[in-house]
Amino acid sequence: MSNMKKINKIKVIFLCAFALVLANACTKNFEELNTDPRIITADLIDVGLILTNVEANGIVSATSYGNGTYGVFCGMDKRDDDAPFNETDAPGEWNFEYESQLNNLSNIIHLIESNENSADLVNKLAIARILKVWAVSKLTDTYGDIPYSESCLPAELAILQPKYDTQESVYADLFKELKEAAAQLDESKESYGSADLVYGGDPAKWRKLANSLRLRLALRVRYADAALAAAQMSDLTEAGLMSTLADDAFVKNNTDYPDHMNPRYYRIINYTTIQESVGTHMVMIETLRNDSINLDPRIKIYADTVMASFKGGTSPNGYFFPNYDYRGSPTLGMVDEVNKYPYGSGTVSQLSDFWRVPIVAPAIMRNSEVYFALAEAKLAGLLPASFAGTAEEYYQKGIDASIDWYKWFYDLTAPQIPDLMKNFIHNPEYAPGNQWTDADVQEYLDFKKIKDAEVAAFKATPMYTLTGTEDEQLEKIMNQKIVALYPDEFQGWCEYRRTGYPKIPIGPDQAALRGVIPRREPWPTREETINSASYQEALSRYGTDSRLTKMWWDANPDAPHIYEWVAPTMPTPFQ
Amino acid sequence: MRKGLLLTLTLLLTFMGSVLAQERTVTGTVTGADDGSPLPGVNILVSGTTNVGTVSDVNGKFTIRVPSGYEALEFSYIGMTSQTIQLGASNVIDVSLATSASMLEEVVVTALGIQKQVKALGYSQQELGSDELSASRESNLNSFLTAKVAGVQVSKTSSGAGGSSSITIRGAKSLLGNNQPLYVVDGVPITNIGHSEGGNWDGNDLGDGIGDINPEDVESMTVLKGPNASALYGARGSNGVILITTKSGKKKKGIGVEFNSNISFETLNLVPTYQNKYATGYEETNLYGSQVELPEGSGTFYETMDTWHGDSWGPPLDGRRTIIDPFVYPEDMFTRTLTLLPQPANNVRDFYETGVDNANTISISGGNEKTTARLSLGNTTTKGIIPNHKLNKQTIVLRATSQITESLSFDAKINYIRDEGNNRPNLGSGSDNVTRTFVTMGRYVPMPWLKEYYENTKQPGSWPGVNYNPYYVVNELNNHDTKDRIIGLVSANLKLNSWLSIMGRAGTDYYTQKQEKRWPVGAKGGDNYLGRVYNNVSTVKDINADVILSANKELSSHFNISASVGSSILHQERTTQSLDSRNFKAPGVYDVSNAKDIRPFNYISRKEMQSVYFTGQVAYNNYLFVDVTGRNDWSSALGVNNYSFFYPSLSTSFVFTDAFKVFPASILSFGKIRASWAQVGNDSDPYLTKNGYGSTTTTYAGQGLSWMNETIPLFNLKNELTESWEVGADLRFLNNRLGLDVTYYNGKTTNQILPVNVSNTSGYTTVVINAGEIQNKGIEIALNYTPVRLSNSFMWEINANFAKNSSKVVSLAPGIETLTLVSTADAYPNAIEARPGEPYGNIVGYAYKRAPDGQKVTIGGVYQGTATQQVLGNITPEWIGGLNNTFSYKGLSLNVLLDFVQGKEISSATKYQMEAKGTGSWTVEGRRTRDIDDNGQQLPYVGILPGVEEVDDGSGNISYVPNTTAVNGQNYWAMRAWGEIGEEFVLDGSYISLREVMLSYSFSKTFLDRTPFAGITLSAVGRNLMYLEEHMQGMGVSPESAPNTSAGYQGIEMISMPTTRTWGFNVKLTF
Repeated sequence: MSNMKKINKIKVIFLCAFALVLANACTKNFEELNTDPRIITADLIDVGLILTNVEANGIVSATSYGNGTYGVFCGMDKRDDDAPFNETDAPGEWNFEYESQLNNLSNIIHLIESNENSADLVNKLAIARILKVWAVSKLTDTYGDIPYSESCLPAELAILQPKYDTQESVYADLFKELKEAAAQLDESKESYGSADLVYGGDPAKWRKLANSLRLRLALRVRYADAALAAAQMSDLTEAGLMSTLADDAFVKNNTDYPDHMNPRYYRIINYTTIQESVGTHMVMIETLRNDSINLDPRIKIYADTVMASFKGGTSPNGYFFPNYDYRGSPTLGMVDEVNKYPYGSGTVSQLSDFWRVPIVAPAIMRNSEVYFALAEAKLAGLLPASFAGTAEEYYQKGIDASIDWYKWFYDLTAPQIPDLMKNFIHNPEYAPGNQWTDADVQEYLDFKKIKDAEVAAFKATPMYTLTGTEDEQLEKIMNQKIVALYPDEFQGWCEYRRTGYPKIPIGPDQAALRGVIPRREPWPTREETINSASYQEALSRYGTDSRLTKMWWDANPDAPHIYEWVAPTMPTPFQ
Repeated sequence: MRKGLLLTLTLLLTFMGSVLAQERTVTGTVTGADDGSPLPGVNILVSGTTNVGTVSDVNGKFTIRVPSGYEALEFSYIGMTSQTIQLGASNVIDVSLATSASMLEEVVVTALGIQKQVKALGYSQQELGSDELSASRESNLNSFLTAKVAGVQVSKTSSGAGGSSSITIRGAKSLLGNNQPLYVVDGVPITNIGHSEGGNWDGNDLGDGIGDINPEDVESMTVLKGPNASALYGARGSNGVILITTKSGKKKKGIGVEFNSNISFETLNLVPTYQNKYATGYEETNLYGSQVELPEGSGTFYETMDTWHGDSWGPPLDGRRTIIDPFVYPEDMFTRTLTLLPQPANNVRDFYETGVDNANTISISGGNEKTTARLSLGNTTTKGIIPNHKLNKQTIVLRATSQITESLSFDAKINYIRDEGNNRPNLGSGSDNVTRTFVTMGRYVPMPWLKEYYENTKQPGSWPGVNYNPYYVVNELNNHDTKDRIIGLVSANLKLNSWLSIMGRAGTDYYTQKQEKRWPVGAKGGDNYLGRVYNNVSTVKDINADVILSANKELSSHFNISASVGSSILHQERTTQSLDSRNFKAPGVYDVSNAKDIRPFNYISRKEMQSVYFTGQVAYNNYLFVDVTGRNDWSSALGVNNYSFFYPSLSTSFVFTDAFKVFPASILSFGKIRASWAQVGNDSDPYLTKNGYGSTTTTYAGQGLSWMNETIPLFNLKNELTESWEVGADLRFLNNRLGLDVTYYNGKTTNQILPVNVSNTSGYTTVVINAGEIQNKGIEIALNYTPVRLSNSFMWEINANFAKNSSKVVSLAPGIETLTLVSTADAYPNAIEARPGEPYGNIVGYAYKRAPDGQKVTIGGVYQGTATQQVLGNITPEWIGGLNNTFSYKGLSLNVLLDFVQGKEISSATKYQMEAKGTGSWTVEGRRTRDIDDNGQQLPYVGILPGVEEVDDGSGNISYVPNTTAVNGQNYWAMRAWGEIGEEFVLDGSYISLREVMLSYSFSKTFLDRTPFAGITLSAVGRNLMYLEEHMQGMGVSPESAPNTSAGYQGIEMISMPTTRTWGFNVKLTF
């Protein structure tokens, strides 16, 4: 009987449990359960955090900055293992700008515009707009027509297959954005402060950058639409442009994390060996050798002499190196051995080790570029009368500004040289038989320092004057502009495409482009499959999605100017 | 089919005819055991034959001629239990047959642990009993299913011992994700998170969840293949369910002790094949180094080799070229020379060791009327083929059942698992994968030097053509992981009355996995160079609880009705916490406190699902069955207003041989047709419904960083729905000697929840969609046949299965044209995609540019790729199958299992690497055997690629002339890789594998009576012995080399570890 009762009790418990579980369909806590505790929601985010991230990625970690990819196309540098004339696509820039830059910048803009206090946040808004123009200009100057107006909308409005805007319409908007942003900046309102790695949020400096970028872009469209170029320059003033080193827009690398270091240094520690061999280019070397009259002193910062690190003869520890002086390489693609032998890694100047230290200063734009732009604009008669200088005066200011920058760059990098030399470059573990002492390093640094007398001697040469026909003057401006722009290879390539200068010596090439320097990069292959209708529509405008297709502003009928040169051959490596 | 049968019979008859010599005549009478009345029409067959037989007459009498050598007769009659009678001296035999219960009273476990008669199943399911599971011991339970179950494709990752395995049942249903079935152990789901991280760049395979279950503890495995079989498991069962029943104690006298010991050896089977003729360098001559005078002042210059030029397109290893020896200690640099000569051909093979796996399990079980208990202890130690790769596993299972009162019973189980892994191989195309080092390594590199250098300096060193010193990698880049796992279960069953019972059950699967990876100061890679230790702790917690009320009532003599209604709750929590500590203050101290750069990571994923469900069955006369199920789930992972979703199923089974007793058992012993329809809902991973900003502890110059997440969330996320129907028949002939099970199924999954890649120009890389449809249809055939069964107990059994599945991606979301399963970056140079209108899993990449007549086009003598990407193949097989032959004689049995996978393609990264680097054996073609003549003058190149040269006359007219341009080795071969011509790297992935050969012997009872043992079984097993067919072009790479278990990766070979074969011996003792 009691047993029976016990069983009944158990039955009741079971049924209760059953009823309880059935009634358990309670979804009250579901929304909280389904929220990732790590995300920062829109109402909590500080746009300064996003801006810092954009600047750190966009300026410091930018991949196309000085690694030889575009340097071979504008005479800045070259890489041994490159095959520059293949018809391959280069989605790197595309992915980087859309995934790391435009999306975040658009988001800052959207967050501020939808903020009820947006009137107080105009500086933050304007700075994001200027940075976005810079990013978009790199994109369109790489690919031509690009998705822009339908790109990077807020998530709820996102267009998954944005149409491609013509480069002409993109440029129209970039001009408008720069103009509006410059006008919007207001020294009396709050800004990003130290979250802005470039100018610490200084509205005045950002305004100068906006104007200077507008000058760069106006000049870029010069051959496609001279009237537009002149119109965009018409409201600029000399005072409103970058004019000194203090105006330069750059971010110094940082050693706090490996990916914030100079990629060249990072690659050394990454492979624990001097992996890369970036040779210097014949064009830069010829310009800086200055017809062998008086070396341009910037050559010491740019390059080492061949084999002899810096002086030739017997090295500090007694090892013999022949000295071949400064010797640059032409742009060689897939050529026969006999064409390559004259330009082996041992017989072409390598970039100096100043470019390999952990902290350098990648830039958005530097003031020397402004002066070269003014020199060209003056020469072409595009500038308003308020710009009083002659083309030659602007040209000389450009050279002066660049020399100042190279000196500044020496001061920035020289203290980092001893560590680099002793631990890597001249460490026997990585560079056998070639150990340097402190004295060796000091001797090297003393030699490399640009001295006033050297500068004065250089300025006394014809290189410092601007004479000749308009075309000859343009070539001179562009050759010096390339030196000043270094290591911004991408801008160098843009300048080359636009003006056809500098003239590039190119060897016979067996690859698809047969030694013809590309005019753009093809759109990423993925777009063909993932955004096909828009891609096809853009393709119908271009005909072929080739590296040789010219974009809208690439309209100079005289470009490129041919370098009359026959590639030498040699049966065995040059010694 | 019938034709095939006839052919077999004819052949057998011919065979028999040749051995027939003498015969005897046997007569007798057959009666029924119940009433002694004579039985007419009884089938009488000479044992071991298929057609030597007769039928009894109206008086039950028979006469049969028995060929010599045959000593038994088989008597079978519908509704009676068959009998086999050994013939003695007498030629007169009288037999009495007992009434049998229905022919197929086999009971199987189905969804939710509900036991059902096989004949009542309205869908296809297949069971492997302990027979199949014993002896052929594989460490991962999944491997037992290989080639044995129709429609089930098992693949193991190429990650060496202890790696994960993957199962796909009836094709991939979900477009992304791993498509793995749900594993249910004794009624409680367990997690099977594949920890196979061997994707593109790096990772170690820490093994999967199912690998933790000791096969010795498993009684049976049942595969519920389709949604129809698994509708009651809901979302998690939509890819099929594998039910595992573990052993429990038996009611018996005394205690039972079982001991199983297994030792197996793993030896190399396929290793990439290398060329042994050309050195590192380029253009068949150029080493790309500088000239160094040696001795100084001698005027004799030797070439050096630059470290960063790693490809093997250099001069011949013919002893004609001497360079500055790079294989010296730093202080000896530029003091020695090295003449380029080939290294021993086997130098890579010699690096590997023989793997050893030793597994021992002892179990004790016993029980009485009220309680039973079983305790099992297992220990496995494994040594992999890569030096220092070691694994340890211990399992403990305690299971107890108790019938407390007549109506109340308990069942409880606790399973503790301890896994330990040491130095699991680094996978993928990262430089710490030693296989990658070998496939790219210069063929002039002296391996003994690498070893000596490491041993003397403990540093990796750097040499031209050496990616990363493999001896340093396997000795210094240590990793260690442990897993402590508890799987627990308690259930109670209470009979409320004669037809109603209630069952409550709770189970948990909880584990903590810890991993540590170490990089000493000086290791390669910028992230590792300054010293690094990575610690990761992951926990997995699943709690399942359910309550089921079941009724089973006979309504009339014709109708029986059974029904259950239940409710369950699942709570899942996964956490990951890791510390990535870099930049050591003091070398050799692997602790976060010793690091200057510390990067923490924390992730918690939580999900809850609540469900109610019912299942009901009506049986008519025990031969017609109709089943209905319904389930409603509430999942926290879905959108706020869409938590709830319902889905039903309906199935029916008709045993027509029971309904119409028209066929004698000797012809058609059993026949059933079945049909079913089901829907299964599915939810998603958590956190797909909200957007936000991510951040990191990394700062820039002290400034914090944040970014917008690149995924567009879906606020109103709804459930996926799989809908499927199937029809099938289960037929058994010749007194069950021939069984045939055929199923046709057709299913589609709609409303797929997918994070889909979109054009990044949208500002986002991924969008969560809730659309799209994938269709899977196919046919499965399982056949078992006993062609020979002799009276001397010799038997030959054939088990064969065949499955053909065709999957089609019907649609994706609007604006989504393609779904990338594996991106180009991970499957270089090809991608794996799903596209509307195409089969699932296309390999997409650039093809060879071809002239209109199909010939390959060259420009400058070099092959070109197409301008646009094309479909180059498909990763899903056209059909898969297995063929298992078992020969047994007395205690001896021989088992031979073949595994067929046909009609699929594979994209090979090894081929890509070896062709880019010039290390593959096949890359000697087209290279000159001498680069300079005796006078030191360059000889011309010799490699002329077959094809046609494209000639452009300058005005856009293209014509083709035969290619006559000789090019160097790298243009001949490497330009295919460098030029991303993906077609070159897509291979036919079909194969026939000799999967298993097993010989086992069980000692006879008469022998055992003289020993303390109740049973002794000895077996020898060889697994993965060889490919009877493969099409990997002699590369020495297996077609089964997926780097991890996710569906898209099943068509990728990612620089896989060498393929091995396993030889093992097993002893099983019972007391």
